[in-house]
Amino acid sequence: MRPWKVEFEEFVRARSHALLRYGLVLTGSADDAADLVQEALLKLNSSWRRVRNKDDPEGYVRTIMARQHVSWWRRRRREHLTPEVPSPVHQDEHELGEIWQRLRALPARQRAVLVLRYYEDLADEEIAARLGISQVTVRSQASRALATLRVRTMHSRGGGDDI
Amino acid sequence: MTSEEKLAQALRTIADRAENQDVLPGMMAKRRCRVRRRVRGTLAAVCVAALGWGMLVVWPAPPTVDTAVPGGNAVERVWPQAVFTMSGRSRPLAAISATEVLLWAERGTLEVYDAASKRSRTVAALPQAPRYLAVDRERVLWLADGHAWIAPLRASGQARKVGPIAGENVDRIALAGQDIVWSAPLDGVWRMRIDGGAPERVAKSKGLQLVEWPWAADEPLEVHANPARVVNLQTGRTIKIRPASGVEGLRCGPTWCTGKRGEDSIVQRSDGSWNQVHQGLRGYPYRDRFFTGSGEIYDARTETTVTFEGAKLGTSGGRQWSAGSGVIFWTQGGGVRVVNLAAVPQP
Repeated sequence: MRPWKVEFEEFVRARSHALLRYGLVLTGSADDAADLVQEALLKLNSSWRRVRNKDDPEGYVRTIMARQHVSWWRRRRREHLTPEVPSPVHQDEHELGEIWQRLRALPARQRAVLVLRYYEDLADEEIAARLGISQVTVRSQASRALATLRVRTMHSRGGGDDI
Repeated sequence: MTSEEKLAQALRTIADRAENQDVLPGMMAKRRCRVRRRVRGTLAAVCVAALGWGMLVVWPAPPTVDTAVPGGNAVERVWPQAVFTMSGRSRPLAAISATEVLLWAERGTLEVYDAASKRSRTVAALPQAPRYLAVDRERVLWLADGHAWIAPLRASGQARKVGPIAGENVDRIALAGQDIVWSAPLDGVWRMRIDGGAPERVAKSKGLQLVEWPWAADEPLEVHANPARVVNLQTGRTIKIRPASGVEGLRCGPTWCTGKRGEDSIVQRSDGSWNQVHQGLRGYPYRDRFFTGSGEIYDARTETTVTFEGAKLGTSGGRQWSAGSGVIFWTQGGGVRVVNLAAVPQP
């Protein structure tokens, strides 16, 4: 048995749940999350011997997932695929349900920017590197997404009630 | 308007609801499809169809149980007393008795749920679900903040801190009468009285990892290597592991093991006298008897395979489910469907 294969499988078993969690908030669907994780791991597998020597193979996978998700979303939008997916939100969780519904409705890149900023807790510079876009684009995408979600940012102290 | 904190909290809440699943079979199925597609120029649709059957048994040599084909062996039919549905805001952590499971409720509490009365009672409130825990019929034990915590399941009473539990890599704990026991990879099994005191290594446990008290094994760090022995730390009885031909990565209780031969999952007796292909089954047996895999539970003692077909299919064709100690569960119809293996009678 080749050691690198062992290492790879250990990595997958140790980190797959965390990647599925990330995939769910990125895609909005458990099935799409699993699909995305498998796709990203397939790419990681083919370059494992190179990537394992770097500090952060998980960061590599998460980068692939974010970019792949945006790419799939563009393709699927062209195919007009709008599948109904089971919601992870319970019926009586009105506030959470509303936020989630609006998040799911965002274009993939805007949603990815929000996930990277508020779930992954990355700085704009890191988000730009992960998505392969400029920091200016990160900020503009985040701004549009937050406006769509009607999210009050830390910088604007304007009034208004919570959703 | 909402706030950034609420958005971050919403994302974390949703992420917490992602169920774990074995993604390797789906990944391998995708790879096989792409290789075939490159070789034969096959249509993508063929691969999509094949992914759904990626778990089918193909190893021809030993007796084979085709575990991927749905049949009349649904868990609801074979073990009806072991299946129940509970609130979608909870997830079971461990089987306690034939009717009771320990669960984690989203409001941040450990609770005992009785499937017969459909009622639960709170055991402890915690900031997060414990990662490592053990139960017996009277107590629950978990690790947090470098200590063990123990709480009564039936009588009222506060959780009590015991320890500290030394070692950063402790990943197995158990209740053993008036002792708590724990182990970390290659570090042997340690014990401490439940009312505190100095930790001491359990005799003849050097290099062993807990399997299910009082059994421990010399589990290798390398996932494809095989252990050589399983030891009863109370009696000293030692069982030598004899891997079936070509099987690697064995994980064994005293009687049964699972391992891999190529891409096939194998269930074998620890002494090597019997083996069979059961696709998708991995890990240690629960109560030296039950193995769980892709949409099925295998009872090695009675050679019974049951399926849980209510769990939805993932994109790889496998069922999406999670497991705790003696409990297997999945979301179904807004609730959580649970199989409590402690409710399956002894043969």
